[in-house]
Amino acid sequence: MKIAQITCTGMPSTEALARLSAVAPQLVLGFGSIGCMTLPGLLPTLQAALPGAILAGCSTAGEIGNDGVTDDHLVLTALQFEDPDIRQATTTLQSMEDTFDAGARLATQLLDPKVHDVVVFAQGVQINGSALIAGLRSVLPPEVGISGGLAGDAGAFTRTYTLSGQAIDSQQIVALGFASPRTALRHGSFHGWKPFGPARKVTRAVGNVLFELDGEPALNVYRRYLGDHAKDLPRSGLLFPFEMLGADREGQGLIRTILGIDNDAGSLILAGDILEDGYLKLMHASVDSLVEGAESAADAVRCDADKILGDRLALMVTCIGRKLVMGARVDEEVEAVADVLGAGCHRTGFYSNGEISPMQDATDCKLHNQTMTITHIVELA
Amino acid sequence: MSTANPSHTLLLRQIKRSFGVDSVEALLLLSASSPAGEFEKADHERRLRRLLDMISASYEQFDRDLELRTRSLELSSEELTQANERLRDEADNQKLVLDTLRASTGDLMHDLEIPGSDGSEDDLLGLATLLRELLLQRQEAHRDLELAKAQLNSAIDALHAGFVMFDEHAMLLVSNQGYRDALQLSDLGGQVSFSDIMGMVYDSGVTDTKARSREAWLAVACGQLERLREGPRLFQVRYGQRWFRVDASRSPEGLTVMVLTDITDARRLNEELVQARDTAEAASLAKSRFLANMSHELRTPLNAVIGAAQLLEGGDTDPESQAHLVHSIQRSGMNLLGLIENILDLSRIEAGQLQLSSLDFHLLDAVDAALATAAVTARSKGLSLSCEVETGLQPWRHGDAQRVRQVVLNLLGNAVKFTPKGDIVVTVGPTGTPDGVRLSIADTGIGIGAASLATIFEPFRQADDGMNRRFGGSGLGLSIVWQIVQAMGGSISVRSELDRGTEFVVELPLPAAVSMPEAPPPLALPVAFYEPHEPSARALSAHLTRLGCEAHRVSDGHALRQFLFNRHGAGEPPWVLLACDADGARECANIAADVLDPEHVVGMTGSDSADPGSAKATLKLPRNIIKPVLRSALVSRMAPQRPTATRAMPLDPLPEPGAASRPGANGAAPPRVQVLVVEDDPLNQTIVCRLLTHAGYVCSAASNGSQALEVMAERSFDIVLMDWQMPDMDGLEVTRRVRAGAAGPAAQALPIVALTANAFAEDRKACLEAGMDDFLTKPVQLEALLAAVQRWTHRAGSGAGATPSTARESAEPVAYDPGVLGALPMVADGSDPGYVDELLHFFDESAAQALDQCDDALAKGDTDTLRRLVHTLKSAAAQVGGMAMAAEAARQEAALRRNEPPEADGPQRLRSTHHAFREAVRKARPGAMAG
Repeated sequence: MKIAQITCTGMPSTEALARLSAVAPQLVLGFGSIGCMTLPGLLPTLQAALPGAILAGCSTAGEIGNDGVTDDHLVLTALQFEDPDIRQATTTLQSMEDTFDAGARLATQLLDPKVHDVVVFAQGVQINGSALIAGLRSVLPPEVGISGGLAGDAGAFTRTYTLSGQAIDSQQIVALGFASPRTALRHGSFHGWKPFGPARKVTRAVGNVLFELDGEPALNVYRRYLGDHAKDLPRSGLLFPFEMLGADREGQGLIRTILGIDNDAGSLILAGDILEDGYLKLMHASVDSLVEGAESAADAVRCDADKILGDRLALMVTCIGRKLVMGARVDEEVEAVADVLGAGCHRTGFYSNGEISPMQDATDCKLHNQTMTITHIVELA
Repeated sequence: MSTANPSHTLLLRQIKRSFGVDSVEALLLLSASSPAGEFEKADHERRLRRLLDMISASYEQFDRDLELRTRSLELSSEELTQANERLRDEADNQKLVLDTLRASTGDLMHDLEIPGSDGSEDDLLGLATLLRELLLQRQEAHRDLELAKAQLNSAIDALHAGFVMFDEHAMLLVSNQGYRDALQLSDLGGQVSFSDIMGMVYDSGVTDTKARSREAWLAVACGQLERLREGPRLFQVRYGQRWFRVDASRSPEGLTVMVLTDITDARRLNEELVQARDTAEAASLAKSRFLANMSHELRTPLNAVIGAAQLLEGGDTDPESQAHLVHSIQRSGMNLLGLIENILDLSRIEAGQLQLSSLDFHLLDAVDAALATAAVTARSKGLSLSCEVETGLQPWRHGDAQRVRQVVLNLLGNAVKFTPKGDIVVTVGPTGTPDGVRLSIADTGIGIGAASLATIFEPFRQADDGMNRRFGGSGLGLSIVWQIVQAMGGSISVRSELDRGTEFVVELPLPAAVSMPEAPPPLALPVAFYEPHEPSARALSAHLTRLGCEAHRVSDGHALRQFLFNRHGAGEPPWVLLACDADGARECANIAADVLDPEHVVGMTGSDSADPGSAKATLKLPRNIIKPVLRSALVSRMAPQRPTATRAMPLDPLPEPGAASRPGANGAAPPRVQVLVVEDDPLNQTIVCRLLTHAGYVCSAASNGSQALEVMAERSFDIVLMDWQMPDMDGLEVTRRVRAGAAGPAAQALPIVALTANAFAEDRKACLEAGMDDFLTKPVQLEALLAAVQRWTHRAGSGAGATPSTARESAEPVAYDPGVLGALPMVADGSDPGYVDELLHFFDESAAQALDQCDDALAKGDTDTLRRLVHTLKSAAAQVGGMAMAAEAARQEAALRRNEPPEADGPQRLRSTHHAFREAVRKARPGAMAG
């Protein structure tokens, strides 16, 4: 596999595009800010410059490239496979309720025994990420790996875009099916958050609203444990998410970020459904621990170099929440991944509104919060 | 701790990020070798500062994390402490609960005899589970119990039988509606004992307490309950009109249970069955006795007949002997007939068929009727027969006149039979009791031996066989009398002395008449009588006194002359009654001849023969009375002109033989009435035809049923006499076919009279049901035959000589023809003067009833019933002389037999003829319809 990458702040120049077309890519991934993705004439330009290449990507809350993390940039990565067999599927999401069906529609377009992995980029606002995975899974065999993420809009949560050969569109969902037996995708997903305090039983919750823990208003418990940090609520809530535990108090590897609070109801609004009958534990993180998490994810997708032919690509989908915690040190997690995966591994990806990846050591795919998700794409010798 | 060579990954990573080297040694090396220039120096410093910033930021973050975790630990510790205290409190509490629970459970398990499972009491959950199980069991058991109880109560209430249960102290536990209904108690209330309930029963009077006191009654009832300790009891008890079988028993726990089953219907059925069995047994007994005796009794006169017939057949006898033999045959035949009649009468009585009527009647009329009948024989034997009525006797009584007459007649018959010479005196008088009537029949006959007196009233007994041989007769008469007297609730006794005479005394309870007819005005005549015979004189005196006459017995002509002389010109002319046959009668008459008005002299004779030498003949008396002198005869002879249709029937003690019943006896030519005799036996056919032809009827004969139908279809008749038993088709069947129109429409309403040897009531019923109109028993007696024919042809038109058909159309049938009943033998011969009123009364009641039934049948469209009712009315009306009613009924019956639809006003038309009949009867016989 040969890989070429360019990063630009506006419409990519002909020269830059020429560097991409030089590798004669069959696939070009593009991640850019809302501003970049909505540049007039972007799609025709790309199509003209990269004929025959499949275009896929989305808008971001921060782009990841070989040079690190950028904002308001467009990162284009061209991939040239020796033995290419890549399919693309797109569908338009009619509404939030259409999510499951949209996933099923995409999967139907990709359904082929040869397809062993699917990477999906979906719009990231009016969508139920869990339903999208379920829709895909309802058609695809369980051994087919699914990864990807929900497009971002720099934390505005208003409008996102996806890129395909057909359109750059706010309702579009784009999926790639990898069918060549020589193409391999490995998945890794870690967060680096650390639980503290006792596990609290969810005694009342409706959907993503948590009312009571251990029979006490959830907000009271939350405030009591946050101490001084409580005065910065709801902003400080991003720094103290919940770990969701099952009824057996075993961790599911799922984290729920606090998006808001309701002082009157004493309730907390979480970024995803809460398991009924489950337990919650408070979590906290430092930049260092998050970086360690990213390292763990990278460790999970490492592979033997002697079996690999040519360049590799680490497609990172990481959470906007991590970016908030790390602030200026956000580069560190990307660097940590690069350090683990070593030279010869190109990086791209984006800060997203939701990460899609199989659970660790399982094919069961979930929507995550607060993780670093890595899809390591290689071509076998 | 390796201070010389720090190797924390974070530090190393930051060193690498800031200086691009992998270790502290490399960094130290780098710092030692540089800085080369100003820029490098500044850059190195910048990198160092950045590294230190990073380290500082990490420390800050570690501080923050530590603070957070410490706080969390403190909070958790506090929570743990609190939780621990709560747990301890709770544990103490739970231990207390557990201890209590354990103790309770132990008790419970001990009570329930459940072995305690080791250690389970120490396990709270195990204990709770156990308790819960026990509780569930208990609830289930309770539910089952409630359900069972409800089911039991419901079942007990659903029982038709009465159910009651008392506890060991005899207090009421359960009772159902059936029990309360049986005792006729609406509510038993709560907390009542058996004794209380029995008290209520006593007070309400629904049961037979046998006049015991309340205490005695309760003692008996409670004693019954107490005896249940010895075992279950079954007894019967009456509450009100219902009988109950009580099954009572006591359980080992002392509960008393009683079930009351209504056995009223079963008891009644049982009684009926017992009665039916008794009746059947009695009938069977009577029949066997009847058969045993009958063969002997019948053989005797039959032997005489056969013997005489054989003698006659021999032809050796002289004319005088022949006449004697014929006379013997006749007498034996008559004896036989009388015997058969008595046998039938007795067997009817013994079969329980003696039905006593209950009507107002004149006692002396009944006695007179018997006297009149017995007098015939008495006269022929030269016996003096008299009847003495004691003063103070109220003659209007309520009861069965016919049976009273029969009793007197039978006793008189015996007296006459067993009295060769002398007197027979009947005495009628009151007894000591208000309703009592005493009838004495005394004779001067042969008497009865003391040994025979005891069995004198048993059937087929006479005083001895010798007597039987001498006087003939079956000895059934006294049996019949005894039975009748018993049935009437009276008594009979006999006193006798051999060769001196016998006296039978009958005492009967006969209450005063319900309505006394207006007493006839007293005759109030001065009457002198010459009667040397003492009993007759006493009887006559009593009669006259009762009639309001001034009776004066004279001993001879001089006394008579003196009496008449004294009375001459003063008030009513005096009457003289003269015993013509007595010695001295003629002399007496001669002495008084100059003051004697023959128009006011009545001769009293003992026989009907006009002895040329008698006073009657000598005196040429226009008025005579044949002895015994009867009250009615006196009235008819001496009373001023009275209408004949009053209650007192014109009563001639000795009518001309056959005169009353023979058609045309009053001088008119016999009507050309056509009679068809259907009879298969040639001899009987000949006899009946001869008798009828002799009486002036036109007679045809048919020898069997088919022939009868043919003849009737060809020719018209006025009446058919129909034998019952015929070989091809019996008389009933022939009649049914005639009524159905097999002999043409004209014959459908033809009167048909059965001729049969079957003499029982049910046979008569069968005849009438088959459609016959009347019924004659064989052997046919002339009077009855002629009476029946006259009765049934009479209604067809009284016009002599008129053809039947035109007579029917032209003649208007009369509402009431007294001649019909007058022609009845017992009326015609004066033997039963009350019979007419009795029949009329009976008819009146039954007709009204039948008319109501006609209405019903018409409303229901039940034509068969209607036709049967109309037929019965036709027959019944004709029998009592209701000719217009009979004709209307006959017309309707004929129409119904032609299958014409019933007339809507049919019953009404019959009712109007019935009404006319009643009116006519009321006019003719004011006393008949009383009541």
